Amino acid sequence: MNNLLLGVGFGLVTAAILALATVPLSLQMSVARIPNFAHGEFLTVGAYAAYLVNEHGGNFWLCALAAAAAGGGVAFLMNALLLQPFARRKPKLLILFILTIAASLIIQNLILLFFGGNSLSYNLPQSAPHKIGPLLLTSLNLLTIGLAIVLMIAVHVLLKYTKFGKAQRAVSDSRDLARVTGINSEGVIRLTWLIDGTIAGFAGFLLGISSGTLSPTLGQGYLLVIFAAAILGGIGKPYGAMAGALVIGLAMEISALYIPSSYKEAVAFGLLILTLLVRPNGIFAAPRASGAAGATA
Amino acid sequence: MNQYLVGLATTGVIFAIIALALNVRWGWAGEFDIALFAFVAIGAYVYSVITLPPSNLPPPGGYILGLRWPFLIGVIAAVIIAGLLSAIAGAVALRKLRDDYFGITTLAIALILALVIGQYTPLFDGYEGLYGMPQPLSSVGALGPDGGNYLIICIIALIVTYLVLERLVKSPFGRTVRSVREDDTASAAFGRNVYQVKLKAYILGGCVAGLGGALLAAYITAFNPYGWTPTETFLIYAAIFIGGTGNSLGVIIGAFFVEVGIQEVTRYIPQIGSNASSGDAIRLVVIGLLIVAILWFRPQGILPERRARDRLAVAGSGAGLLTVPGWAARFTPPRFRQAPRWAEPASAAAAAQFTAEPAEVPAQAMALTFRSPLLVSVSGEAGPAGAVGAVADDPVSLRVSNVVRAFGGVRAVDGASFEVRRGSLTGLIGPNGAGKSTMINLISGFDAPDSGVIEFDGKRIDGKPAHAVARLGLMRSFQTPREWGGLTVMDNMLLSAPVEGRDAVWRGLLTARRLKAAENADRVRARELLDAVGLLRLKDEPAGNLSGGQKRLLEFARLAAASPRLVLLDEPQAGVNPVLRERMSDLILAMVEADITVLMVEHNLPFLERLCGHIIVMALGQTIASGSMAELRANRDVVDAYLGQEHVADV
Amino acid sequence: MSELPQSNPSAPGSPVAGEPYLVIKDLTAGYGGPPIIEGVTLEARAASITAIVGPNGAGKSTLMKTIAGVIKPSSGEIQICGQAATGLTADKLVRRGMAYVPQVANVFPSLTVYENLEMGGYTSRSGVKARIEELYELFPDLRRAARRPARTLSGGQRNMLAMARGLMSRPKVLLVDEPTAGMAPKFETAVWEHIIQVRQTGVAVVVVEQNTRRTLSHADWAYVLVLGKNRLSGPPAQLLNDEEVVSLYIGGGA
Repeated sequence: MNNLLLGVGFGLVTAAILALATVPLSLQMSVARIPNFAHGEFLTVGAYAAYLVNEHGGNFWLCALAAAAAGGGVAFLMNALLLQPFARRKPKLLILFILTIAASLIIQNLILLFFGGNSLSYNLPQSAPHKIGPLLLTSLNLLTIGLAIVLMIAVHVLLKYTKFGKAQRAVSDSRDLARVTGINSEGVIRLTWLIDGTIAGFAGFLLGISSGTLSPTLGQGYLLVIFAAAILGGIGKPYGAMAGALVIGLAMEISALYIPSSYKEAVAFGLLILTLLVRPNGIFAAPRASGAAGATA
Repeated sequence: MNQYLVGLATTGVIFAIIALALNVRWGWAGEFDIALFAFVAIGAYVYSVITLPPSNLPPPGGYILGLRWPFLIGVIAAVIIAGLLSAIAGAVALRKLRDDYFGITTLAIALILALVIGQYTPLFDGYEGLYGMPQPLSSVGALGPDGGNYLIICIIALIVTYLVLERLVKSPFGRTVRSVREDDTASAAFGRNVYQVKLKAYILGGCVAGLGGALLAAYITAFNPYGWTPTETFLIYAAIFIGGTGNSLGVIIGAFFVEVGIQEVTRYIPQIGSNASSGDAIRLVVIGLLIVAILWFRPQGILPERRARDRLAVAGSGAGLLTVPGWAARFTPPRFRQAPRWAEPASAAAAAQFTAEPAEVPAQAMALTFRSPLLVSVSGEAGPAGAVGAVADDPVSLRVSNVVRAFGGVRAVDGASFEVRRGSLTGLIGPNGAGKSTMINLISGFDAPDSGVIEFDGKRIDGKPAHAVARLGLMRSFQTPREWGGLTVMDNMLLSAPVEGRDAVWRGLLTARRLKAAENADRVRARELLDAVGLLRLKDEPAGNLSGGQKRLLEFARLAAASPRLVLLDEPQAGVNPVLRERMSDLILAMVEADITVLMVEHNLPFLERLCGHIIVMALGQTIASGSMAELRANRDVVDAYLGQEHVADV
Repeated sequence: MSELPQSNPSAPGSPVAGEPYLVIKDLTAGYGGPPIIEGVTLEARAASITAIVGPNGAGKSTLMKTIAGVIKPSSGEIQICGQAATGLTADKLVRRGMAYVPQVANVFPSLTVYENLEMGGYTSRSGVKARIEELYELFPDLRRAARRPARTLSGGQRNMLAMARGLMSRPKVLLVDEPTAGMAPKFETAVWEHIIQVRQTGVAVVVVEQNTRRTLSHADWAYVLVLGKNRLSGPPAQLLNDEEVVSLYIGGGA
């Protein structure tokens, strides 16, 4: 039983970081609808920006800020310089997907170029473990979970109570109708990418701390787990992403108690494939309506 | 010879083979597969454990098999196993997934595979990997990767692969695969089981990838999971994009460019600081930028996909009939054993007629052209596979009974019933929202009714998938013409001819010459039909370049080529200029003359009126009236349905 | 009744006397291939209902979308309140005083009724709450459903919401595309009552409709479009009784 609770504790931390990484992806996909293969790179960029600041003596909060800013900047630029120009030509979705792959290649290797391939790590004060009821968590763990909850609430507030958030939901429902209502859909999309990268960059910093070492493939290695959580919760549903992250995070850590922990990710991938086959719209949606392939308008 | 250059060339050749594998999946079939390199790895591993001696590694290391069998068997095993695993992976990933989800699923499969192989060490020695593969063919002679001899083996493999794939891409199979990439809805409407076609392409790609993997393992004599990541697959995509998607030669060029060219160029960039990987990093950044540049400036790549040339085989060459030899007959399904009647070679005279400039075809002759060699008059010989004379007695060709189809809460079709008489030209009209388009989808198998029965020639077809309905002889057109844009007009015509098992892979591979002769009849007929619609001079143009009106005409020609028994026309003259409209009326009449039943949805009522004797009216999902146009015009309900009611009694 | 699509305000008996809020000259547009509408000309005046009718395939919806800025015209002019507005995108046109109520996908399904209306007021700097109140007066059903997501509304209620959303920005021109499509007769009447109320507030309402007879009975001026071109125009009363119109729909005539 103790083991199980330990697993739950780890699961919550993993879920927290995963949620911070997944919710922005879901937000972006709900508004801009681009399956972004470079999403992992937003995390990596954040992690390395934090490293830079850390090297020059920055504390946790400064690093976090740097990570968020770097992630946001890269995301914004990728959309403004690469995706939106191509999007004007109305290409197939697959072409945009391929472009994000190219972006991922470029960003990842630029990082490799500037920082080298050696594993780096942060120089942050040690974190003391605390016993919270039956769970054993460090202060850093608690901070991670706490910040994740705070940011989830912030996203919720954004979507539900701000004019911009409502505009995001409107664009998500129908880009055309939003324009007709007077909303500048392209502007909303640009800002959404900024928010996406900002939160993801911060998640990258936390991921870097949690995995102990940084490498240029930090984000990409995590990408499929992020997609698993996003798809489980329903692509384009930020709230679903929170739930998806919780499920995948817990599943990964608890499964590690029963099978070798190196198969953790396989559990996530397996859930991903299962979801895509059985409930491609996420576990909260109805199964795909039956109908022959290729029905015309 | 310079050992370094030999090594470079060998890597390039192997890379080219792997690129050809991806070209089958992506270039031919349009499948965005990220798992390709996993199948290369499978090939490498299988080759290794077949050629290595039994494992004597201390646990937990070790590997399975270890048969110490020769090079060739290792390669063949690699191809087969990679193909088998592709079948499994493809069956999972191809289940109606959107393009990007398909890619993600293949990525997930590849990563799971990598994880399992890395972790489960008894399988392939985990992350340590395998090494020490014996030099290929060393028992035969003094061969080895150090000399140029292994390079020669690889070049031979590349040439063989290239020739096989070229043969396949030009065969009916290759044409079918490419059609699915262009427009899979149209492919289904013309009788193709899209899922099966895509799966076959996926497996074929896997086999070639396995070959590449085996050659790779034999060359490096070592293989471990670190050498295969998604990045490797993206490099191959870069090769294909740059060289030319779909063009085998272009792909080979692209492979050399990316693997050898860029590798070499970036070798001369000095190492930056203490970063040992700076060369690699720069190389990949350059490749990433190249992908973006190519997609922006020249998405088709250096060598665009080649257009098939339309050539008639010399009449009477070889055996035109696809009869299966006796010993194989036992294993062949019945419908393949007999050569279909269309396989008879054209006479030399008929063939000669079309090498010259086409003359004006008189209008009456058009009907004769449309008359399918498969259809028979009501006196009833055997028609297309399965149909027998009894059917010809039933005057009703299509019967719709109480069909209901609802979307969400809205009943698009709400208990509609009607009959279409054989050989008739019947119209289906109704105001917007009447449910006509839904009805067409339900009849043609693109949608299934919630309840009710649809019968075609006495057989129930409701719920059958589109390709099955098409194979029964019920074809349809679409509101906007759906042609296979990247293929030539002639290819479009050939694809439309009845399927009858011609596009099997083995036929494309083994009986290419016979197929060409058999296709002669189709080509001749296609030319006649194209001539009848006035498109003969465009037969070698990519169909996507045609104007809207020309695409419509092509659609007619394709429908006629399919030798249908019933054709559903969905607003055939929408967006067509008045001159063309005349032509279209003639074509539709010619179809009916040729004993094809036609059911036509139209909004242009004067157009419809001239052609249709019998017209069915739908409104709000139900059939409200039927009869001649004059009768309908006098029918108050019909007029109200169109113009609306002025004053509504408040309910 | 003339072939030329002009409404002459000084013509005797012309009921339409207000300022031309919307002027379209020679508009041509399509979806990339051959044009769907060609050389269309029309006018919509303040405090009037202008009907656009015609058989299927006439291009009525395409015309609406082009005026609304959803489709870019290949040639022609659009003027709103005398100012050139050709080629502007839909969101900019809202700021010029145009509002478009599409036929399908005309509400944001995941937003509540209240939020949908809020979006309608996106371009307003202030007074959104007050405006919503005003619209609740006009459409009392919406007040009752204020907190419900728009996708839970019936088709008729959705069309009401769509129209109310359009009115949030206090437009001069309101384009309504088939407001009664697929609706029960009871709702049809309600919709027309609302459209008439909107006209009283001074808005130039342009309506495209399937139920031709009903539309003609309410409109102040009508244009009949056939195959993408102007065919007839004039006072609806005359058009209602004209054989030629019937034949355009059902055939059998000239």
